[in-house]
Amino acid sequence: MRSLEEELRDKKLDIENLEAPEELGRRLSAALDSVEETNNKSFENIWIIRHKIIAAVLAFIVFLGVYNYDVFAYYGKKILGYDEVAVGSLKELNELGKGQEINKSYKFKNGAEVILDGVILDDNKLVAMYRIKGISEGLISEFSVRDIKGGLISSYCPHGGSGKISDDKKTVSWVMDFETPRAFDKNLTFNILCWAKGVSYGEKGKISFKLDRNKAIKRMVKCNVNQIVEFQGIKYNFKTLSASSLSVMLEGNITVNSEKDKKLFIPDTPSFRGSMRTLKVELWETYIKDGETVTKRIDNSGFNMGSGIDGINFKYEFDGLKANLQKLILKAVKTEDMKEIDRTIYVNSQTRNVKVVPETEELIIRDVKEQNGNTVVTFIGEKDIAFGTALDIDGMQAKTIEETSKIVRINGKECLEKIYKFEGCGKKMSLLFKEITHETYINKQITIYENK
Amino acid sequence: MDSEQLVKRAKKGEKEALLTLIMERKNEFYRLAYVYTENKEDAMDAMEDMIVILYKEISKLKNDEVFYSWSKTILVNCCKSILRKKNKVVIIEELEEGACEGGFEGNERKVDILRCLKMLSENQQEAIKLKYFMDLDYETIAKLSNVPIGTVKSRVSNGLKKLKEAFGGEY
Repeated sequence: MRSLEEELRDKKLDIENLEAPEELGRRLSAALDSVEETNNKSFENIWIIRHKIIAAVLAFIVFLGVYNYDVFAYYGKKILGYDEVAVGSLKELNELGKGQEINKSYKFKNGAEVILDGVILDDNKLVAMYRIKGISEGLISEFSVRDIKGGLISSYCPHGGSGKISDDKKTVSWVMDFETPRAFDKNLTFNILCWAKGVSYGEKGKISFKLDRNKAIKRMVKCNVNQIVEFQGIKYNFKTLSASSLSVMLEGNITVNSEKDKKLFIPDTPSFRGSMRTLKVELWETYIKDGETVTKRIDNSGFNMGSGIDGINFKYEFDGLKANLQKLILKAVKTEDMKEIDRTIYVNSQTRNVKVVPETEELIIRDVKEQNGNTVVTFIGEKDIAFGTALDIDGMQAKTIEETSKIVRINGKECLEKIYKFEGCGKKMSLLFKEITHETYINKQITIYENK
Repeated sequence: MDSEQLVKRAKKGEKEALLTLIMERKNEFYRLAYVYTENKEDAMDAMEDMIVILYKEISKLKNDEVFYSWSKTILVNCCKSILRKKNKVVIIEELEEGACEGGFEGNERKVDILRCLKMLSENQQEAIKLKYFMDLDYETIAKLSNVPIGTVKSRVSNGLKKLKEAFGGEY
């Protein structure tokens, strides 16, 4: 006879045997990387104020440094092995052999090796190109790049990057963006941490290198934008733009009138979950290529938002500019209110009118039908809604064959009708929803730069 | 480097020091989160939320020695926040009638105790899980749940009584 006490004791043993998943270190590290360095920055600001004289001297050096790397362009050797990882401007610049070759490595006690092949720098960021080599995919995946350290107090965090594992699963090549080191930081150390179980657990790999600013990518445009787009009582103030052929950084802030509006952008929920409003912008460049005028949208490569003294600060990062720039136009396209719902709804061919978000009419599964062995799901939602879904059939994700949407009128109200057609059908089916977004169009544009 | 030094470094904004502090006791943190969330993904989400809050708030921590208990209180709040959000949007599985009946008597069949605990109030579940699964004392549970010790004791006692009455087993 089993008693309640025994059941509780058994469960306790189960819990005691639980071990934190291997990816935990990487996930916590990534969560920390997503936070702005508030404490560090304030510490550094105080330090600089207390050392005004040093700061003045440094300012002079900074000036010289900036002057130097604006004037000289560098043509060197292409850093090999990154063709499939580097995209956009970075790929083009690497093809041209721009950037600084480093070619230094660190060998971990467990035999894994990290090789810092090179870096590419402009005013907005430093891109590190590195490889991790080891005996297995499991091993080379257990590393997280920490930061690039400069002088006594400088630390530059990674912003994001992409990696690709080689066919033999023994090498992963990464391109990772970091903050641009300050002009007086020349001797840098690239730090990477190993989380793989065994002798190298927690071992930090360090690669020191000297940053050659003469090899930095030349600045093309740096200007004060100082333009405000006002929408629904909220002011989006675009302040500065700094651009090179590697990247474009647009910075500004949002002024809100109430705490409630502020929470639309900076919700109480930490990290990545909850609901959040973002402003979608597009940057369009006009340039001359082979005598022809070309106008093209520049790919957006990043977005960052956080609380600041004068409101909510934002940064948009785009791919680099093309040569022979004639005009740069910024379009404030729309606001997006993204709400994470993370919901699974079990469905079958009898399913009718099920609310995706409980207690709201935002999005409804109107019906689920079986059609020639496939599953067709019709949704009705508010006109401004955007969402995605996946169908799970007997534990396997079904392939989406078709996805169509149109605006329909129901009881005099315009609604979105979206139909998904999935391959296959089954008795045990569920629809998975991660998030839904409400979009409100602004469609205003600002001319940022014009070559007259 | 000892914990105290790591806390000092973390207070200066060193992310790595904070990460090391948590990773040194990662299993303790993970188990605590798991007891609340009952699944791996939510437990890790809660830990992510926790470390972000810790980083933002650690400069306000007056007594470095209480870093770990302070962190765990924050973790518990993060778990509760995740559960609250899930409960808002996920259809809560109804406990089938009789799902646990006979579980504690008559045979050696193990019942899903987590499922059975669902019949208790959230507070009672929390108190019983922390006491019996995590082996925490009443004082620690009181701190984590932010209620007086007496309240914890009565939650545990009433919860166990309710479980016993429902299943009529030995206790």
